[in-house]
Amino acid sequence: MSSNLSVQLTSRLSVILSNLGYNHFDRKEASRSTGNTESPSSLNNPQVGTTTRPDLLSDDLATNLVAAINLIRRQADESGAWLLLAGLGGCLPLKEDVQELRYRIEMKGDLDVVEWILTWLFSEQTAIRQNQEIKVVSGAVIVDVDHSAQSALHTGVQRVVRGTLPTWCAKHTIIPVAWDDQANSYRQLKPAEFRRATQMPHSSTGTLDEADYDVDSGNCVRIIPWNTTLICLEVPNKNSSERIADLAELSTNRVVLVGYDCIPVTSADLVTDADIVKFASYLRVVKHADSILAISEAAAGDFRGFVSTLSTQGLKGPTVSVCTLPSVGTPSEIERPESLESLESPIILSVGSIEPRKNHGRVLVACERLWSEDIKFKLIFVAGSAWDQDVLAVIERLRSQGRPIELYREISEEDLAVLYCRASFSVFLSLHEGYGLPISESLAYGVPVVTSDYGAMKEFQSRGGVVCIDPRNLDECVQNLRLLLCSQTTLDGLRDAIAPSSRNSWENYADELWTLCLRESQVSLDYGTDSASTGSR
Amino acid sequence: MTKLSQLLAGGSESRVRALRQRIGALADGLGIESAEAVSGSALSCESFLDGVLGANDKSRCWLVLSVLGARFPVHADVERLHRAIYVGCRPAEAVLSTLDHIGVIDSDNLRRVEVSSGVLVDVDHTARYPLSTGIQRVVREVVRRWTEVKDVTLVAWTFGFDGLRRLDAIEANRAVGDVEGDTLSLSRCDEGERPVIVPWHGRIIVPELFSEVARATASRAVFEFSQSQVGMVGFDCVPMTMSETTGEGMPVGFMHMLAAARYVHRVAAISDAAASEFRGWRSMLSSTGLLGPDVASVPLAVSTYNSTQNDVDHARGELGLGQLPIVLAVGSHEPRKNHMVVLHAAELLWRDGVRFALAFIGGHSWKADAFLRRVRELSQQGLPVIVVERAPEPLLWAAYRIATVSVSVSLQEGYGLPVAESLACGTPVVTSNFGAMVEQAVMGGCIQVDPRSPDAVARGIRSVLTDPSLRSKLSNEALRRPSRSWDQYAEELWTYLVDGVPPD
Repeated sequence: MSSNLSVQLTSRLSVILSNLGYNHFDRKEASRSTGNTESPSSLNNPQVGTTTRPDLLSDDLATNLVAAINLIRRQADESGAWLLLAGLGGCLPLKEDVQELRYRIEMKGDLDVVEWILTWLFSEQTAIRQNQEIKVVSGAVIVDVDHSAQSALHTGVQRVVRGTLPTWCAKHTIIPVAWDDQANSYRQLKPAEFRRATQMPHSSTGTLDEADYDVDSGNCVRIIPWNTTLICLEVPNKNSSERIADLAELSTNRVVLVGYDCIPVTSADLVTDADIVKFASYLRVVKHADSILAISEAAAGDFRGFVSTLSTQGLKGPTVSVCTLPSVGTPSEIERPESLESLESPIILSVGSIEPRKNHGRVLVACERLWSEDIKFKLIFVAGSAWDQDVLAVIERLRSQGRPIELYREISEEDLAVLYCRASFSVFLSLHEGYGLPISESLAYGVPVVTSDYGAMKEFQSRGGVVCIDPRNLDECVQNLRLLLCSQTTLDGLRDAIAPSSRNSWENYADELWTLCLRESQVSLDYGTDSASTGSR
Repeated sequence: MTKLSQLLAGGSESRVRALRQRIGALADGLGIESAEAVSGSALSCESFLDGVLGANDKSRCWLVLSVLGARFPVHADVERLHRAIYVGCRPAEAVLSTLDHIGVIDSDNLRRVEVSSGVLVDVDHTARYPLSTGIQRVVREVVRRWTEVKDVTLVAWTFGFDGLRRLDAIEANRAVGDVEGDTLSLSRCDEGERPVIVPWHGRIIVPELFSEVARATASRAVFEFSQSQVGMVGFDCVPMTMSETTGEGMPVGFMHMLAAARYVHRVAAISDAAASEFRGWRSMLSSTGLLGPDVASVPLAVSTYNSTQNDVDHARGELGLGQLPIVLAVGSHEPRKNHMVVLHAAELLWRDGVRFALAFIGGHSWKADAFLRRVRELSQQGLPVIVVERAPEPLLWAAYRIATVSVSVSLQEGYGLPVAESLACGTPVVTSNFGAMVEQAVMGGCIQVDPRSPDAVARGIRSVLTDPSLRSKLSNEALRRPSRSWDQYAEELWTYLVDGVPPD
């Protein structure tokens, strides 16, 4: 085992050395170097063995380690130290460890450095014990789709992943990756995960087929990115964020993020504490990323605001640009009823999870007021998740008073299409959005929307068919809903005003996103190597 | 549902008395002749409430709940009352059912209530904890001056963060004065004795950080609904911009503070750098449909302490550093202060044969394991480095004076107090080439370096240590810097936060 490990580490080191640009000339340089360096043979000194593993230190391994140490000693930055730990340990190292190594390489002798590295290699975070295959991937495009690959959820972020990946996989060579179970390293996707990350599920809010999902990810090859463009299509969780931030700061990889929103920074009252902790950690990634591609002008404004604070840390921060999400949800073959009069009463449709941020409470108050005025209509909620107990209690109370309210938790795309086709209009008075998918969806079905008069939601106004109001003002809400319920002319005018979206497919979005992601990259867009295709087909 | 009449008729005498006092305070606060409502029947009380909330104004909803409950409602409570009235509930009944929902009807809370339109200064943390952090020193300098010449009421929160109250004697002393010899860990103010103070069309100043979630949540409703002009001091946005350097819980509390700060009118940032952080955050508010506060920079003042010759003579001995030139680093040991790089730079210099001793003064450390380990290693190698966790003021200031050079190469500072203090003593500073530290450096006495480069930091320290003419040039610059007193700061802060006049 240990001699196997030694052979394995030696071969990992030669990969690292070649990625650091080690060549014959360097080999001579390294053997000539003086100062703090000891000759490789002195590394077999028995005193090393007290804390590390002398049995691991074959001559080859020792020679290669010393060569790497000497290369890194001559480097101005910390990227070489990052790669040495990443490539040996099979995990994305943390900044404190990289800096400690860099310090030791500069200040201490080779013996000390080797001992420190071997001790670090046996720390919890590395893959050394699992005999894991590690691949250092250079010059590729790596796409972090961790959550969409592993979770059956299909909300905003997963839609973006599942809408984008099919196009990218068809047109380009990419390596989609997830995190290992301890969130220490990237790894290849399993076939089932790949399918999950690239396929739109059948139900709009429901779950995917769990049948072929094999939970054991222990055997997946670990991926160490080097000189790559790493694209995070999702918002990583807290632990992953720490390692991505350190990768972005210290390694030679370019990091590109799709920027969804900064809700926890400005609306802490509307999210959970766990969301805040996760987002605060994510802002570390943002700080050191190269580029943010925001899903709306408003989201871009949020990220620019954050970036503008970074000069106090002497940092430039990422460039921020906009790549707006597509307007999709095309009505298939479903026919709209001939006229709304043929229905019992008009339908107001409200799509979106029932949580405080979505402001359903005020919509309910407005509707209660309108019902008390004897205006006839039905209110239908479609909500994938519903955890705002206050709102659920109000729905319950109004229903018990005989008010026509329906709440659908799980619904297929087809049924949702039917609801859109029967709805008079939809209402989406969220207090804070990065984009506002339900607005986009409603307009794609030709259904007018009452929405909020600021941020990303207001950006839809130019499409036509959108009524923007102050979502905190009950009077405005009541007046506008009343108008649309009572004036068929107004409603028809709004319907007629809806212009088709200039961007109407995920393919279109994926193409522009790809171009923007690779815009400042030195990597050729399609390089095609063996290592690059692993796991993606 | 509990009827007001039942409360007034059926409650114990002390509860009825408390309720009548509150109704009176409410009427007074609104400038309404209250005699009838207070002395009269439940019926007149109910019609009084119907009248007060007839226009269904959210601020009045907050006021009524605060005063009658003697306990501040949170945003959701105010919305609940407002919505109930909106869909046709009778106001007096809606008030009672909301108070019932909040849980005050059946509580034994007998607090009296005082509605105030004066200037309230919220010094909760400074008054309750005998700590002496940078923030609390600022608060004490300001509050001491304001209490002498301005008409202010100092307030703290009740234990449950559900109301403001006056300070007790110990707290009042702490808020303005020294905490030397103050051994209580936390004040045990007897709250039953103190009325809850409800601000209404007044002024509220928060000169300290408030990052407890419950305090931030209650404050948010106060700021949003009390119709008061609200000002706060903005120290920095580190939990947002550098969460990696703060404790785990800090971002949660801080983001809740920012949620409350959306409803603040003015933020007086302690430096241009701090102002740029708050402005960056404010620009993000356009996604929330809220304007957020005006932000201006009102730079802090710098304390000086007149060291005696005795202080100076003894400092060397106390630090135990012999006759070597001293390089001084003041500040808590936390990642943001970048002390690992200071150690690395010092080691580079020692290796090159530069002779000096390195002294760290500062405690209150976190995430400092690696730092303390490295200090131990270096000491064991016989290198002259010491860490003084707790230095009394005389020793700190004497250390500034006997040091050849200070090094303050943080990765972020709200103001850069150790830079300013060292310069006030005429000791040059090697500091970071960005942010608030540059604001200090441009006035002279500093060498600016890239704090992420141990080589650059070492070069900066070496230049002052080894070039006496440079050292004296920088020292002269430092002593010629314009001084700024706490009197000035306190006055400018008042002018901006209370009078609403922005600084030039």
